[in-house]
Amino acid sequence: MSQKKKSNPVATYVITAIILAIITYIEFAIIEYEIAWLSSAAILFWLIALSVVKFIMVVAIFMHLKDDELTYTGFFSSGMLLALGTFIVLPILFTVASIPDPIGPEVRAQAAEQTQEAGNGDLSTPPPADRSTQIEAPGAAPADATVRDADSTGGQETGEEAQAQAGEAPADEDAQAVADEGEEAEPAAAGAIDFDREQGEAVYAANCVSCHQGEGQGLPGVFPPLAGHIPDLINAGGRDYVIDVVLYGLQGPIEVDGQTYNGVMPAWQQLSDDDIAAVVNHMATAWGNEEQLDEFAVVTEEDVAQHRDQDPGDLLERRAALAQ
Amino acid sequence: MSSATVAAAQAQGDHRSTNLPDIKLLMWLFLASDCMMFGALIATYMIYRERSLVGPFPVDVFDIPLTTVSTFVLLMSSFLMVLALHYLRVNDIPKFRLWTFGTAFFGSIFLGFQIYEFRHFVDLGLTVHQNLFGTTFFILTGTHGVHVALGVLMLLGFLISSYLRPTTGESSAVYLDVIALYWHFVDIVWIVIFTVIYLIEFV
Ligand code: HEC
Repeated sequence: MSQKKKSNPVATYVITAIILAIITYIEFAIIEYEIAWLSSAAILFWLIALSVVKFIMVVAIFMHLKDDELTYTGFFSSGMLLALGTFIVLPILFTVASIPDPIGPEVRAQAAEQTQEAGNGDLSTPPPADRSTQIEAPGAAPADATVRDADSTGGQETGEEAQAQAGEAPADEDAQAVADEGEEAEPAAAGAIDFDREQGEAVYAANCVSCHQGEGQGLPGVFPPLAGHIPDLINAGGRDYVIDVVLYGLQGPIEVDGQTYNGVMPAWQQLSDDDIAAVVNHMATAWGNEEQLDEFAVVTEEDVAQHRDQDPGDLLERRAALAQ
Repeated sequence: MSSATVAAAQAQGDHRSTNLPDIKLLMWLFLASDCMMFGALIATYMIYRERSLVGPFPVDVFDIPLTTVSTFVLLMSSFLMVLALHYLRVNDIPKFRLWTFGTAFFGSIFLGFQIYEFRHFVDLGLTVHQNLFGTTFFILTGTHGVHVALGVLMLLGFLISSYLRPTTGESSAVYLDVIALYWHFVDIVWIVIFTVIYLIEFV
């Protein structure tokens, strides 16, 4: 390989190093001396262009890909391409506004699948069918509570059943079954708190389950539970607080059931007003929360729009006030 | 690798069709996979950029002149690295040793800057669990720092072994070449980090 090189590679290296140093200085100068006649888009362009030049110089000359076997270039560029793809696609995935109409057989099937997957882990989760029974009859609260108890002991069994089902039945049928149950549940619930329960569940499944878990049980010490906890907040007058937390996120120490949490709850500005309203209503009513509510005015799209325009103030302080 | 060892390896049933040194092929494959790791880490940083709810924020803590100097040091270490490799190839052992040591030394200076920077950030209240910026920043630059530290160790290891067993010419140069590839890779990752993490914050 050394025979292939020019007579004096050291000279090439020295020149390369000098150019690299100069480019680094130019980058520094662009930022440090705030060049006024360059627009920020132009500055961005030049910074990226300069670093690409540096990158290519090091790879081609110092890593001598320029005059080495093509195989190496092939390896490296495929890795680079994948990395670049990740770099471009991942942020886009995270900033795309939520799916406009999240309701549909596919989404529901997905949500059902996710819940079942979660059920496989330690935090065993009853299958989605349980949820509709819980939501069903707010009027018959005491009876319902006992049903829920029975469910939680039998949760493992039903979970397995549902999984076996999912294994046999093709996805479409599965989704159909879930959708049917949803329809059954709706008329019974319509009397009291009226909102699109399927939408709330779908928004929750798409954005919140990963942390607050399938049944809103959270993860002790890491993600606070929402089941059995949201009603406490709302009964203490925290309806607005809950909306704001979802809109603006929360960071700092809070206490739930004697457990301290000090994590980061992301802000969900990218969700539509409609979706946020649905998910707040969902948290207020799902997992048996509905029976624990003293009173609750359904959150509407307009409510959320109003909160979006307001300064939420210090959410930690507002929460501390609620806890008293 | 000399033809004798290749013949011996082939006799043992080791088939190779590329005719390229295994170790170099392996390093390029590793670098390709490392690309993807840093790609994911940088993408994660970008996703959570400007999502921190509490300070300190990047503009509060970054010190561009300081980071420019450490970037410069790392670039120059790459330059010393190519010199070291060149002098090993032409069998100028004293110069090879000098510049190998120089590379490791500059790498250590870079690490020193990074340790100083991390401590300074912690003093300013930025820790791994302070906010999303802290988490993603420390994970990313920390992973890079570990790469640099490993590189320094490999260079020093090669330098020491050059005193213990004969290290001359192309057959040894393959090994230094592989370490050099790794070293330059760590350098280009920093080129990206310097622009994408540090400079862009001030545009
Ligand atoms: C990345 C994980 C994560 C995701 C995703 C997430 N949360 Fe949270 N959430 C948290 C953490 C952590 C806290 C506690 C924050 C703290 O300690 O200050 C929290 C707190 C909350 C609280 C306030 C609880 C209280 O007691 O004040 C509500 C309400 C809430 N989350 C609802 C949601 C909803 C609705 C979604 C989906 C749109 C969601 N969360 C998604 C992690 C998450």
